[in-house]
Amino acid sequence: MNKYLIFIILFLFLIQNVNADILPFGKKYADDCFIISNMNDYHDYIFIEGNEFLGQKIINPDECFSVYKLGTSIIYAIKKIDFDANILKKNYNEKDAYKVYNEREAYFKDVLKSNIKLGSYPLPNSNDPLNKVVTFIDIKELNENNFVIEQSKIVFTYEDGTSEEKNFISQDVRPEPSRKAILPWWFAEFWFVILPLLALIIIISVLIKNKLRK
Amino acid sequence: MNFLFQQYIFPLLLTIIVEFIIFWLIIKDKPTKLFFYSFIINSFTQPLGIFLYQNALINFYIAELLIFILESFLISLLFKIKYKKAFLISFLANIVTALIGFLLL
Repeated sequence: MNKYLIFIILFLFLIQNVNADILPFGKKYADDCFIISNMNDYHDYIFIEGNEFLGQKIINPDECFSVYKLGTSIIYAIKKIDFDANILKKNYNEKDAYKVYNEREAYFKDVLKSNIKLGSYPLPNSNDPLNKVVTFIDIKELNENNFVIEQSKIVFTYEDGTSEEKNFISQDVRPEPSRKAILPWWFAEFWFVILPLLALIIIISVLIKNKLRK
Repeated sequence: MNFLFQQYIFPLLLTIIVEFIIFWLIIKDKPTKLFFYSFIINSFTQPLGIFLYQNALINFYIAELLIFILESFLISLLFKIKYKKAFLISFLANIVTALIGFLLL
């Protein structure tokens, strides 16, 4: 009986690591989003995040918007006046604006694409102290012809609530958090979960066996 | 790998051996049984103690105290001895391993 119990507990322990979606074994999710820091300086524009898989979404001022973990996103800028006109023309409501952009490039002639693509932060290891990553984007140039953005800084927040800020030196190299997991994830999982759990199961089994012997 | 051995595996093996010797000196039961109990008790309490100390932001001495109390109960239950004696064994075992730890690691 105890033998079966051990297998069931081990099985339950192992399947808890297989999460829904596509979280790879040994990885975890960390909140990851982007803020356009000077979006309020461009009142006459609407900014849209466009992703090849999920379509498009309007970015609200001060919103920390997420990028889908598969693929990259582009920021689109369009003059409010053009955007509204097209929405009216095509009879789209605000809700549907999310979908609009799939076919949009044909509709919006004056749309401006950001010079760089944004990608999500890589999934940290399951024992990594990283909890949240916020990347700040600055609009460097926005006019009729150009839409230039730059990633200016990144704020890492750890599980204990502390955070650190790092500036981008190059747009191609994302700054790394200073604090990383000390242990490889597989060892942390073995050491802090499997080993004590197995030991506890054996202790309980021995105690039950001793009690039954009486 | 060297780091894992030095910081985690070696201290656990050392604790298992030292506590086994203390169990053997005081309880004087079958060595294989004493070693096995030392192995399972420490395989449960040592990772727990390290976790409490490293992640739960608990002071080292508080973590040691919690482990000492937990080990006392486990020793009492597994060896079927009175709590008072179990507390004494656990106290000795933890003091000796902590001292060795301070000296060696």
